[in-house]
Amino acid sequence: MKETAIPLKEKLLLDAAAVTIMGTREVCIENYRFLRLLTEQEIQLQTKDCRISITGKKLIVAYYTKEVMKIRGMIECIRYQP
Amino acid sequence: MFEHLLSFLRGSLVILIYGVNPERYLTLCASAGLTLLNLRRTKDGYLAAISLPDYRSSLPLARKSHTLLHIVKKSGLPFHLYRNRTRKACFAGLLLGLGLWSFLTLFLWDIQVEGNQYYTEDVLLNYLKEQQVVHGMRMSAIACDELEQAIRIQYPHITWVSAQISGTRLILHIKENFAQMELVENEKVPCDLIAVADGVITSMVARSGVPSVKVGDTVTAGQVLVSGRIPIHNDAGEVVAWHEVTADADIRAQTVVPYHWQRSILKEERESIRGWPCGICVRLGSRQLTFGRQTAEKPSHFSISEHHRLSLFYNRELPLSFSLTTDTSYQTRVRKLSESEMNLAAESAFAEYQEQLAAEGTRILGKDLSQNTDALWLTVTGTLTVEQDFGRENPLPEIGAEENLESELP
Repeated sequence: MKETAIPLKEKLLLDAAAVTIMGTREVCIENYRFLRLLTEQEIQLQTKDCRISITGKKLIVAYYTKEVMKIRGMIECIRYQP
Repeated sequence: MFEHLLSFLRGSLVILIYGVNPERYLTLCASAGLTLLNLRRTKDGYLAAISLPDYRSSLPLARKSHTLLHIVKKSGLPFHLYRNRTRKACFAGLLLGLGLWSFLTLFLWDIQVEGNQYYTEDVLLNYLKEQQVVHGMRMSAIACDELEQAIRIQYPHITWVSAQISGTRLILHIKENFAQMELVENEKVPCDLIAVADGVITSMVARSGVPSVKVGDTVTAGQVLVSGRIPIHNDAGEVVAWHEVTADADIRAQTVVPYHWQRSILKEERESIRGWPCGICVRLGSRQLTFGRQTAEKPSHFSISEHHRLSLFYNRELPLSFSLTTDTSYQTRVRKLSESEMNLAAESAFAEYQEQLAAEGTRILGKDLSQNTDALWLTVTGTLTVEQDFGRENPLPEIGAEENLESELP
């Protein structure tokens, strides 16, 4: 049976987190659960499957809603922790 | 830009979030759809910006999560109004200004006329004054339809009028038509077409009358080109009568015309030195108040008046205007034109003459011109070979008594 790609909208409906990186200054994370840790050096977010850790310098949350969070700062590393 | 304006109107706060579990407060805010901006960690807690309505909505969430909120900074219109609530005169002035502005927008403060060429703006404004349409009248008293009709009746050559009210301005769009004035009914008088000058016929299309010449013929001034007297023959080929018509034809001929142009080789130049303002005029409606001089007094001075009308917005004209008069002196200097300037002047004058001839339907085929300069004058003389419309109407000459007798025969 031939496999077909799942559209992005359906992926989001499956509660998978979507991470959009814009250069080294901005990250936009959709479909997160809640904020675990917020410091200037690290931001941790809980998603359905894993924990996303963003490390860098002068990190701030530009805005966040129930589903979307935009992080600004000098981003050095994005890590998925099971 | 719009977001900044909205934020200013709603009011915004910078709050410090601290306590037992501030992260839970953040999660509850996100779940409730409350937006926190520029969230960052400090040594005391979390610092974030929030709008005033969102802050009020988040207070129960703070109690629920055992979190304390401390307002660090307030900004925006609601806080500004609250801080200045004791300044009653300021609010009264603001309201009075808005009221006055709203009241003044009920009146007509500017009349514009567009599309007029023959009838000047002063003429039309005077007529509007007769119709009681003046500056300062109430806008609601203007009946555009009646005004349009009255203008059309008063000025028959204005074929279309549109009166439009835009803000405190009345705009009259006008279209004039003078074509009907030019159509003067000429009485059809029998006549010949005669040559206006010596020349050679290059083209000829006769519409009425009997052609006397053909293309290629050389004609002299006064020669009949198309006769307006048509002979009527009997069966024997004899002329029994004459039918007189107005000769009409399109005739073009090649002729030679003289050209003469002259101008002074001296040029007067004025070097102006802008002076200081010497007068101010303030106009309020139809009244005006002047300070200082409005015109130049010395012979080598002239005055420039700059007129400014005050308006709040694009189409909200105020009845107040002022003009500033500046006294400017000048020095006159006379110098001789250079060779290149003389050539340029002669060429531009010839080009202008050529355009004038082209507008009349005349085409220049050749030129034989010479340029001379004496102590005072630059003169260009010579002849031009042109192709132009030819023929002029000339009344029919008297015919002989015998021919008259013949024309009276049945």
